[in-house]
Amino acid sequence: MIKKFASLIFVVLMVFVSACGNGGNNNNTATNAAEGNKASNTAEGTNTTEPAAEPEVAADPFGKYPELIEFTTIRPTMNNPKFPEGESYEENVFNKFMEEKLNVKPKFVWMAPQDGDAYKKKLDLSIGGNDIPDVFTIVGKSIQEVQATVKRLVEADMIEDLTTVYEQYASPAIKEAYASADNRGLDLYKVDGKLYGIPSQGSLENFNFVWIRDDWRKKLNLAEPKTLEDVEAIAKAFKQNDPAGNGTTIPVAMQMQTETDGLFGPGFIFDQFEAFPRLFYKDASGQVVYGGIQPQIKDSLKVIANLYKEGLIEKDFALKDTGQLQEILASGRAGIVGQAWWGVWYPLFMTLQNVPDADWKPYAIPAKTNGKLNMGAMNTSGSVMVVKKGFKYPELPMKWLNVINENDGTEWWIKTTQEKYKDANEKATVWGGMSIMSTDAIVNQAAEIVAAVNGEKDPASLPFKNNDAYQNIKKFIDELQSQPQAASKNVLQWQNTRSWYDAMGSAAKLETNIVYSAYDGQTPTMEKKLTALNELQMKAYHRIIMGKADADAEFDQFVADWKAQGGDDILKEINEEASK
Amino acid sequence: MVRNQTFGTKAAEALLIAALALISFSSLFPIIHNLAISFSSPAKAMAGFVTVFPKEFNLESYKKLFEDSVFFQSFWISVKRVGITCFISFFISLLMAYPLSRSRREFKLRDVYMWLLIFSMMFNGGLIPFYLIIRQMGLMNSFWVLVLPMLVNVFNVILIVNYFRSIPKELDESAAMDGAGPWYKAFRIYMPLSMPVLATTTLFLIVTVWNEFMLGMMFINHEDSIPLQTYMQQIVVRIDPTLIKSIEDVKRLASVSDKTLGAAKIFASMLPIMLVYPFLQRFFISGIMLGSVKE
Amino acid sequence: MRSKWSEQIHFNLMLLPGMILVLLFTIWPMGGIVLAFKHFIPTKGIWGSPWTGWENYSYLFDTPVALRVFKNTVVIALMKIGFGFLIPIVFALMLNELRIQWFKRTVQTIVYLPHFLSWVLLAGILRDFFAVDGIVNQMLGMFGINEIMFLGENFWFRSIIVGSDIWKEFGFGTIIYLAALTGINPSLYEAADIDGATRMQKLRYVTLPGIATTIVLVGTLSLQNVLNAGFDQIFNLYNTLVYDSSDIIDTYVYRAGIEEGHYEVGTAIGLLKSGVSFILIIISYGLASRFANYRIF
Repeated sequence: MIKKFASLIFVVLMVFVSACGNGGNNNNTATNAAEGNKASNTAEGTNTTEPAAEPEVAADPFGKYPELIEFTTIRPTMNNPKFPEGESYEENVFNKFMEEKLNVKPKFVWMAPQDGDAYKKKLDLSIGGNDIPDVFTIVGKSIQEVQATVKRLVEADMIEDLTTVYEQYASPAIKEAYASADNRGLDLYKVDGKLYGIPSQGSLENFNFVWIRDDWRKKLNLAEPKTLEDVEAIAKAFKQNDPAGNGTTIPVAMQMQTETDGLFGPGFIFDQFEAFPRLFYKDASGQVVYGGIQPQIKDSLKVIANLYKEGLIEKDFALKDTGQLQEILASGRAGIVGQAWWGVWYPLFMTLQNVPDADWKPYAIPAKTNGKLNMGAMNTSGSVMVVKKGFKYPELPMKWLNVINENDGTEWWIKTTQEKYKDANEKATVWGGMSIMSTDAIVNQAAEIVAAVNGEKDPASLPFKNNDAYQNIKKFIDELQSQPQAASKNVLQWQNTRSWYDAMGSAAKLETNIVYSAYDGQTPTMEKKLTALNELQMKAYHRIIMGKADADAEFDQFVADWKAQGGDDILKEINEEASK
Repeated sequence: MVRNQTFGTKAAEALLIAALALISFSSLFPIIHNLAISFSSPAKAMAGFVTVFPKEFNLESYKKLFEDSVFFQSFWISVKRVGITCFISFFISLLMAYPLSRSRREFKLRDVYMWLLIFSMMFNGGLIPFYLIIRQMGLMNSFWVLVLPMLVNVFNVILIVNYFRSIPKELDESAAMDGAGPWYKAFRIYMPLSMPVLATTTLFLIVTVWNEFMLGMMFINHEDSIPLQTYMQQIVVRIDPTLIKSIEDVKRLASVSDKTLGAAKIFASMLPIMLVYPFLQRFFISGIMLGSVKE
Repeated sequence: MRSKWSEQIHFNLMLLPGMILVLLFTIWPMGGIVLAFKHFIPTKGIWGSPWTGWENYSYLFDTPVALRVFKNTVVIALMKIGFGFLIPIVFALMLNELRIQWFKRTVQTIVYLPHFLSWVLLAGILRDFFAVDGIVNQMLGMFGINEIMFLGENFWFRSIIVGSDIWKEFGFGTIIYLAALTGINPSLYEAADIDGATRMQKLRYVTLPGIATTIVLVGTLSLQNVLNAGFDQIFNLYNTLVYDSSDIIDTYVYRAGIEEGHYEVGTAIGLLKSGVSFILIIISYGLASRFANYRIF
């Protein structure tokens, strides 16, 4: 037996070693090839400086290349897009437009669906196999994940330092957009002070609105809510009167399964107390603190616990995920839900398909504590465009983004998207259509639209991108004045009005207080302990809300545990990094 | 006494039948539910109103399904893949199982091979080395990348070996007397005697190959040559609404969340595999082979 | 005996095509296992990347929940292995006792269907089924039992995880035994009939010994999954309230996003899982060979 085993192990080892030997050889060749590349890269690197030195291409952010440049890249695709006759991801009017503007053409090494993890997995393989395309976008579930990928690429010396490219080639509009967030987006993808990628940046507009079934509210003769107490009173009235019938009404639909402030979450209640449960932010003294352990959280939790006790929230809300919430909302049983300004576009419009005369209306409730509309803001730069080391034209993607950013609001662009590409939306047709928005872009846009609708501004002066919303809102409001109507009569008009005019319009009128996250990276302790700490937090919150423990005692215990189990270390690490 | 026993047996059998019927219903329920959703209107399906019967019955989702050329293309690729893989694998496994079913005395290296196979079944080197090798062999984007790695299924080989070992040695010996070599014995004696286990392993392989989606996802770059389950993987995926960053994302979300079409696709993709078993079941008739060969 | 050598050569030849495939697609990539102890730098290749020792394992072991995660993984996996092993045997024997052929076939065809459904789909159904206002609670309500939050209580949750997994897979699992049952020599039953054996006796002395080798084989091989407790299922069903009873290695690793930034951690965890199961399989092989003088493989 032992002998047999010994011989077995020997053979296994032999095979293993020979296999490894082969593998090793391969990798050696791969490394050699890579080194060869590197050598030629450096040669090319010197080349790169040469054309840059030529006056005709010197640092013009929109400069057209003298001859057609094809670059390799990869792209995320949509689910089953329907292109106009004869067009595809490779051949379409947007790519042609970009070719005319810059004389460049993307060549796709591969494409993979953006939903699910196919794109990410394939990209990981490309990186692991050291055969990345010239230019590509890194996406991820979280900023930390994208950062980790960038860091690995830098470590392996696979991507270009874009510091000077950005300085020289970024258009003023793009620079301004990043500056509106104090260049936080850029900072995320710097390694040792050098910029390695051009990040996307979203606008900060996702305030937590309280969406209310306005048809129910009107039927019960309740006033529009001004405070959190009003909202609670409306919820109670929904509970008593059961407008959905058969006791199926869910006064406040809410989920808080894993996140405290996710979609359909209780974020609007936390905002009331300036509580930001998942945010590391700077307090008044300039110290970075964790929102989840602040005393304001306890006040917010007590409010939610009270809703729970009164039966205004579902008994098993803690088990529900966003999918189930969508179901509840679509079924027309819910009375109040917390959601962003775009709630009517998804999924609230589904209510109308089952209950034709339903009407959802958003309310922005200023906080009792400071009278402002509060928001805790995570960094919005969740994807980043990078350039392969040694690619001859490292400024190309920057120029590409400049051109897109300059043109995607034009009449031609929008009309083509809306008409010609009705079934395959904008992102499906133009490669790298990454948005780099200034943080107040949407709020400003909304303010303009609202002003035009209210006659305070000449509608003709609106930029084209606002036209659509303006027209729809105008019609809806005009018709509303002549005769009351069901929202489902013209869903598009209703959606535009509720989102732009009611939600963003009211937010634009209020004073806002945006608390930025002070740290978006990952310290060593965070990597290993944050997940467990987040869980500790959720568990304590659930227990408090469900009345399983005394709120004060439970919360104090949680704070102590959180600090002891790694929280204090994390805060220390962050503060050290911040003070550097 | 005798009557009592038959009554007892009858009662037990009735109870057994009732229990089996109940279990069968529970197994069937999810499929009925899915089917009902596929025939309902999206609004009702999204609101969770559908259980066993369709609400607002319509064929819209199947109409859309038939317009989806990628679905049918990948469906065909999967069928081709399963057919070719199972055909080749049948012979490879049979050839492997025969020598491995010999004793250590008869086949010296038997245990070495066996443990190497078990080792290869349990450990794997991860995706990146696998990718490097596939690339090196020039298999990227080739149909054969979907087939070759699936051909040897160690679990199946072990099952066949186990079955071969239960076949009486006398048969083997008498054939050897007549001068039959190992190839003849494998194909002419062991194969016909082992139809039940070969049918089982073929079924397992069909199911494994049909459901395998990673190879297509990783190594095939063109949508028009991916297998069905790779394609399905893209549509049944749970879209994470927390990733919504802009109103464009929202509008997209609204347009892709067609639960009824998803249900229709799930049903259509399951259909062939559901029909395979009843077809293979005829190889499970007990004892005929052994009985007929036995002198 | 002159054919002895040529027979050996033929045996090797017969194994050749299969072994080539195994070497190419399984053994060769196994060099990548060393990444479990390395920090992978793509430009340096697998062998050129620097060693890091046990660092990759620290992502799993240095968390406050490590102990719980391991315990849950092993407990759930063992429960699934145990019941998932026994029930198909019992079910196959039950079917075997049925006289009505068409019914037998229909039942077998139906119970194997859930195997093909994804957990995403089944989880949705299970959640409705066990919801506070779901059908189970409604039925319990008829007996005056207060509603139970099945999916929110640790005790119930784990039972549902194990139960639903068995329900999904047992039908598929019986196929192997049905095939084995067909291999039993009918003359053995005839002989038993002549001896006046009862049904139970035939089951005990003919049927069970007839499928014993298959039972042992399947049981041993199922030990492969001793650290695989079923990611898809748990991920689609669990929630914060029941992490204590259901958070397993795979769900934790996913939630923490460890594999996203650290490719090697995935390899390291894979190696751990394979290593543990390999040892268990060797032990059971050794036990069978020592005490029953039977070689499983």
